Amino acid sequence: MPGLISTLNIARKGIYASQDSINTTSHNISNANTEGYSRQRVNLQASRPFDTPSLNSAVGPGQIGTGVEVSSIDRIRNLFLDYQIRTETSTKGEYDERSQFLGTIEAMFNTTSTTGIDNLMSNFFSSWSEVSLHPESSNSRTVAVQQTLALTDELNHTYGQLQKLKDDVQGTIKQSVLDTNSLLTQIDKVNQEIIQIKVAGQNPNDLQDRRDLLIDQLSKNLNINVDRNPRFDGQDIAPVDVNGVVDPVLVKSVFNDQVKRFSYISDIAKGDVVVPATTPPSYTYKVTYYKYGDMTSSKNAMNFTVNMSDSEFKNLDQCRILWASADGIALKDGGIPISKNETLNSFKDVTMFQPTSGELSGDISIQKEIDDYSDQLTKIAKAIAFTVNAVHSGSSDGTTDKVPYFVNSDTATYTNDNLDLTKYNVVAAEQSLTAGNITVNKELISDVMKIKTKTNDDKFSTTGENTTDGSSDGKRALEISQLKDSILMVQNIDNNTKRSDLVTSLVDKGSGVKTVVNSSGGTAIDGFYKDTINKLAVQQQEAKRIVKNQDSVLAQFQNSRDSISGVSIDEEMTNLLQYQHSYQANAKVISTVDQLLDVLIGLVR
Amino acid sequence: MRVTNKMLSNNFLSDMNVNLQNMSTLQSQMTSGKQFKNASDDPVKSARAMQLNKDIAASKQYKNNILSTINFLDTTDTALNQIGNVFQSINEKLISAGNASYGPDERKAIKNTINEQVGHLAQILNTNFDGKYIFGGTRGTDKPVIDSVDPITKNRILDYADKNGTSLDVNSINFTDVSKWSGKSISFNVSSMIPTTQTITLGTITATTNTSAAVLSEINNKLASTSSVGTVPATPVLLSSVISATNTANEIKFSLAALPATGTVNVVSTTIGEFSNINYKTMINKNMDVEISQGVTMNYNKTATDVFNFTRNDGTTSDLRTLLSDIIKNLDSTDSADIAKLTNENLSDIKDVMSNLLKVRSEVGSMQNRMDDAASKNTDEIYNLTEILSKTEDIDITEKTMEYATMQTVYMASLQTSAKVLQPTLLDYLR
Repeated sequence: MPGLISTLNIARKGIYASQDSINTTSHNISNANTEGYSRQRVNLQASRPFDTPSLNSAVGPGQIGTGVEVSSIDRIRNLFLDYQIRTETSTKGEYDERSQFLGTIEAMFNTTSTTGIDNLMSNFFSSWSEVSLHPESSNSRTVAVQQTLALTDELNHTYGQLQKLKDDVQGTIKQSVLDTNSLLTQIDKVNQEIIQIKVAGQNPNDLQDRRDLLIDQLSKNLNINVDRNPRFDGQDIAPVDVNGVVDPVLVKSVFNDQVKRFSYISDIAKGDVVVPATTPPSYTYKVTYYKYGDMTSSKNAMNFTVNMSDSEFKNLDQCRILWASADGIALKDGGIPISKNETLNSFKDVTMFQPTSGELSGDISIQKEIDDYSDQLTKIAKAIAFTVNAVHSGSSDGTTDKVPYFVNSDTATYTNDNLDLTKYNVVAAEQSLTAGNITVNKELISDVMKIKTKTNDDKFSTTGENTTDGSSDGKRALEISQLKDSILMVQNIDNNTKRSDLVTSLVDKGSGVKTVVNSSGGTAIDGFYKDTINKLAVQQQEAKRIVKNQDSVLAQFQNSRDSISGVSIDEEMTNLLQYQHSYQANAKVISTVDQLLDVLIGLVR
Repeated sequence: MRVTNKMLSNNFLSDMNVNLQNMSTLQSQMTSGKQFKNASDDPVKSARAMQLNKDIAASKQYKNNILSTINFLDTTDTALNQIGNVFQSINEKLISAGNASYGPDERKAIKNTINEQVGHLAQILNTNFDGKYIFGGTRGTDKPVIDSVDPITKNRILDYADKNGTSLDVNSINFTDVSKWSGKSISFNVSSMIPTTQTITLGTITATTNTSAAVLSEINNKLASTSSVGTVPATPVLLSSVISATNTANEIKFSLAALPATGTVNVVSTTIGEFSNINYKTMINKNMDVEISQGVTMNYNKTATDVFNFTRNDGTTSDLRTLLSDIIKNLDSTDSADIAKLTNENLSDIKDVMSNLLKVRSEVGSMQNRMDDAASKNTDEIYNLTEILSKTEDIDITEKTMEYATMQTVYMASLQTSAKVLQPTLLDYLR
């Protein structure tokens, strides 16, 4: 039989429970707009009844209740949604980056304006058509040279911008590596705190929210797998893409110092060609990387040396992220730290981190795109330079070209405004021509009358020596202007293509001037440029579309998450009223018991 | 499903963003008049637009080419018309010269008129258009012909001009440097031999003094050691028997060797890298081409040579220059046979010259027609391409305005509804 004091206790417990509930409600309300917060709920349960059935217990109906107690405070969260959101965030991160940088490239190419490279190419060929009409006039020649300069300047400029953009992307990669490493360290700290609190038997709701938020942020950079440790709620985090690394875990719940990190390659310096020669040729590269991508101190800089072919170099140059041990030392061969200044046996030993989704993956892929588009520009530059130079000089390999129209500005040297052919090797210089160094021969800029426009100019090293043709003979200029429609193997041009590879032979098609032969399976130069722009446009369209899709998919998941974990003010208000009433009722019980006690004590008096 | 405050505001934000994005797209379409701003907005259409823009640019250049060629041809036609008038008047004068009552004085008067006409002819043949001598072939910057006055007879002689503006002598080659002659060859037209073309090739000339004498001695060596080729004469003779060479300080001149050689000797081509007059003359007879549409080039000039060279009915060819000097010579002559020629051979020749001119002029006429056709085709082409371009990239204002109005309504509805839904909470009703 319980006494009044027992009833008083029950009411006290009720008040405490209400207070806890109101406290949690208040916590929910104040965190209604906190990012990553999940609402919490107080689980109440009736406390253990007072007496247990036994033979000597007093006869009475059932057990006597002892009131309420708070069994736990839980956060309401759907872990499956977390998994989905992280996967989709990685995909969005990748295409966000691609869309952003492809948009920049698109702007550089000036795709739909009337000042783009395609227009300058049209102007260039038109100006040659004009020269063919008035070859005797220096005006038309000057216009042609200036139009050519406008074209080469634009090619140089766009090429330079692409190279600069690549630097920017590398800066972004460096920052992402730094951020990723710092996020990993933070997650590890929170992870350990959670384990400690769990060991003590408590529910670290808010720390769990924080860890989830950090992992969400990490998933933007790379795609990850999270393993939950059932004991004390620790979590192990590893990337989805392991690149052959043994034990590729980034955050561990136990042995949390035996984890992996990432480092950033800041520089890859090309050295000598490897002897004995290999096919394709390899070169010795000195690779400099910074631990954790932290370039604030030169102490973090580390080196190793490795032999790579051109394609292997490109691969490393575009990736730039290395798997590293917990102290930031790059790994080789699946997990052995590379000692300082070590020379690796082969490129296979370099353990690059190559994620398949996330911002890092987007950045790496965009570097590849930039390299591709630079190459496309170089193909266009080489195609124009080779064909025009070939028809201009009548030399299909460049060996007898004394006054090339297009030159490589890196190696062109001039004596008294004349191209110095003792220092400038036409064939070699044209082989190393890029969109970044193509320009017009200064000799021709300073004296436009030296431009070869006449039928028999190919038989003389300079047009001044030509005594066969008159000054208004523009047949050669006409052939050059008609190059705009010639079909060439532009797509096959690469870094090693020489003039003789593209212009295999020159043939007189009836005009008296030898010109370039169409190659079946090729494209016109401006057609090739158009294809390039097309590819860019479709890629960017795809990136924009995926970003849009991911946005709506993520919004959907976010909505589901908000539906489950979000704080509803109306609901909290309703709860608050409920708890308030409960509190008031419990207080009323206390006051009633108080009156009853008063009655009892009054009897004694 | 639980609906929380954050869901409401997030939904509103993302929907409003979509609305604003759509509005912004429509706005930029309306303000630019173009359907797309970046190629990625519509890769297919933008590729088409690029192709069309390129085609339009090329067509515009063809238009430019055609128009300036049409002007060139108009000038040519006018000049040929004037030349026709000159020939007509020479023709009339020749007929009147046949008048039995005409004596030497009348013929002298006719000769003076024809002399004037020769001067006029030279002036017309030296017509300059847009910085170019239209009858000069590829030698557009130098006058193609010259009318020089014979110092003794005071008769005018029509001839090709050399680069100094004097009468062009194909048998003379300028001398500047010994090195230009080393190893070069010279071909001659020797009328007394079959075939008429005979060639000498010079050896290496080593001269301590850089003079034309060194060159001349090498030429004489070669002439004296090179035998004629061909069937006539049956036994080869040394070329020195028909060709002789002389030199001054700045030129080498070839001529027929002294008797017993007969016929004529002319230089027909050389590989000498100097302005040899024969090369200089060839330039006049060169065509100039212009591109009028993709891959289509056409010749658009007529040359002084086209006017000079004519073919008689019997198939023999002659030259206007010889005819004119012949006419003047005959007018001066007192020999009745010569005078008779005026109304016979000369008159029939001038008729042939005129019919040749007619042929040249009708060719120019057909070029003009072709150009006019090309011009109208080109105009159509540009018009059509521009129309397709406009259909590809331009917006339909009506359609876009309606879309914009719809979008505006949607946007305002979303703002209004959200303003009503987001504001109230239970708190508003709790005392």
